[in-house]
Amino acid sequence: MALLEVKDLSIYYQMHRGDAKAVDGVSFSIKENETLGLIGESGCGKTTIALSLLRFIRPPGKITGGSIIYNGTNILDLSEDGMRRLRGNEIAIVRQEAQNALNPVLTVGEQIAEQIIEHDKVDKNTAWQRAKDQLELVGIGADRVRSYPHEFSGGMRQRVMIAIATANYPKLLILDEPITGLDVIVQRQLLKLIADLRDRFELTIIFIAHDLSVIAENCDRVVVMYAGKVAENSNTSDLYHKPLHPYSSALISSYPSILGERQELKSIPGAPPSLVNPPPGCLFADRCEHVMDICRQKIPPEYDIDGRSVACHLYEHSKEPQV
Amino acid sequence: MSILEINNLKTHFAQRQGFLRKLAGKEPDYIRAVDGVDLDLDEGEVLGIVGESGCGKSTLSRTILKLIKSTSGSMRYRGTEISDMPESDFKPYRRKMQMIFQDPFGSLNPRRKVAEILGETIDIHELAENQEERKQMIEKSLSEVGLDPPGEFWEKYPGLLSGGQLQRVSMARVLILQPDFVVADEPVSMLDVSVRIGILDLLLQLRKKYSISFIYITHDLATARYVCDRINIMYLGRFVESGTTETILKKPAHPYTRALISAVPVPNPDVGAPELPIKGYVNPEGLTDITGCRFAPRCPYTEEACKREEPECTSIYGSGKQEHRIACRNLAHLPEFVPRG
Repeated sequence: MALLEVKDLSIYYQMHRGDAKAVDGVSFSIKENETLGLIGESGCGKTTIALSLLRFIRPPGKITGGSIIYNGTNILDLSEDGMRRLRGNEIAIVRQEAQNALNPVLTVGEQIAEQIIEHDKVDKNTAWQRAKDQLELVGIGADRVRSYPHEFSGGMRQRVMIAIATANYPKLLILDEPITGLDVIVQRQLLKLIADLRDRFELTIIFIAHDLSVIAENCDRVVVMYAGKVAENSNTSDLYHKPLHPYSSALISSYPSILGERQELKSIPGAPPSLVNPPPGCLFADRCEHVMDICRQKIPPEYDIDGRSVACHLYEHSKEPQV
Repeated sequence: MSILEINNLKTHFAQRQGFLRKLAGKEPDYIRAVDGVDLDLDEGEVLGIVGESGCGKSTLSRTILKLIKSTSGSMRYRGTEISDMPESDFKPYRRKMQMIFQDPFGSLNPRRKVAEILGETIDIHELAENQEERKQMIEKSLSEVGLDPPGEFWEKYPGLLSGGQLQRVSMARVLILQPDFVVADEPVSMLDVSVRIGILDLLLQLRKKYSISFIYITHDLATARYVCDRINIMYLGRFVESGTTETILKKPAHPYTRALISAVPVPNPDVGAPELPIKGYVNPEGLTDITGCRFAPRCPYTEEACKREEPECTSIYGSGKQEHRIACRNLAHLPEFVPRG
């Protein structure tokens, strides 16, 4: 059964020039214990979706349509109180550049304990003890509970953020670019920590990245986003070996690897269109190698192909990979 | 031909010391950020320097450009010693060695239009005879870096451009000066994956067209592999392994290089993530007092001898540009390298 189901979700940012359709009719779902990757370029709506799952969208942003069903309840209908019970306890998030979001004048122990007390009816001593356990859990060690954030490196601060996010044992953990801006070796250590936590607490994870390799290693399924819409939704292995959408394929062939022979790579020409007054038809048309007349006239519907879905006119008549 | 030759270059920073220590006339502790680097950059060569943050790669790049004063060692630009040259004599050389920074959003003045940013460079180095020539130079450099048509970008402020376009403006600014070599410090790490290759291709294209050499600084072996002819792996102020790009990636010898390779994420879901062979993190505080191998505290193959004496970077294969050098005294006891995938 799906733990979370996002249906036809639209989120617009209201600006003087008009509404920017940051997320436009997005649907996907995530099963329990699954790790879902959300991938796409900057500005494709990944972070906006992540924030909306906790109803963190603030004006000028507005959820204009659709539903987010978590465990049978539409969280868009919940009261603010109901939402508070959900945050931290059921769904938690490690936000982008979270390592810089720690309060510099509180010890990390206080910050973890604060989160625990906020969402759980426990006394201070219990919370402090649990804060220590959390630090142990993320590999920092309970003896650092009285340290301040500036005493930690970026990677360790990110571990603290993960300790805070998992402090109330959520079921669904959203990681928004959790390893961006960190060193390779630190990245690898963090990915290992995330995998360990996932196995140990049977976490369901939404992993947001613009980096295909990180997604490929860690996710069961991938949603490829482009300009506020889902381009392709597929299991990771098929996506890599037989990408359906021309954008997925372009992403894969633009990514350098240390394996195999050194090969020529292709960047994707151009840039995503304006989200305020998008052109008619497929938003990827201007950058697409396979563009046809219909692409500039009609928005492609989603086609189902072997349990995957792709929004591309190439699949109107064929079920075979076209790119 | 060799453009830049560096021998035993060192940059040490004195640590702040307390009043009492000063009074007692004690020597301050030094952070040995760059501690004995040898490097040889040929015309049209792309040389990679790869390592984690804190390993000294940025200090090295700034020392090479004389933005930080070196402590000792020699740097020869086309045979001329520049390490102790006074700033007044150095200005004509400065044009010939330029830098592209990591953060395109922070390295361009947000209140200047693209044309003004590029014009300023021309004015400082007095490159144009008149307004017409100045305009042509700006136009040419913009189209050279793929910002075509130049007229479309001329009047724009950096805030209106994407990260990739901004990095192209940085390249244009450098290109106007017709440099001999450019230090590119993580030029693509802040850009979207889809535009990274475009910037790296531009770099390769400029090297082909104008024989510009590059020193490419990064922590990402995947992009380093794409552009570099040779790679130096740096750890705490020194090169621990140097070789051609394919040698470093296919036959890495040093345990640190191997760790870096196993840490790089691979876009193929069929290739699993290996267990990371090393523990801990870079600790630059260990740079004040060094005995033995700098990597020993994190190395899985450390032996007693490693802790006593610092290994020299010695040649294990080939010579000249094919040479494979490594600083590890335990080489004979290292297990065979198992490639991923």
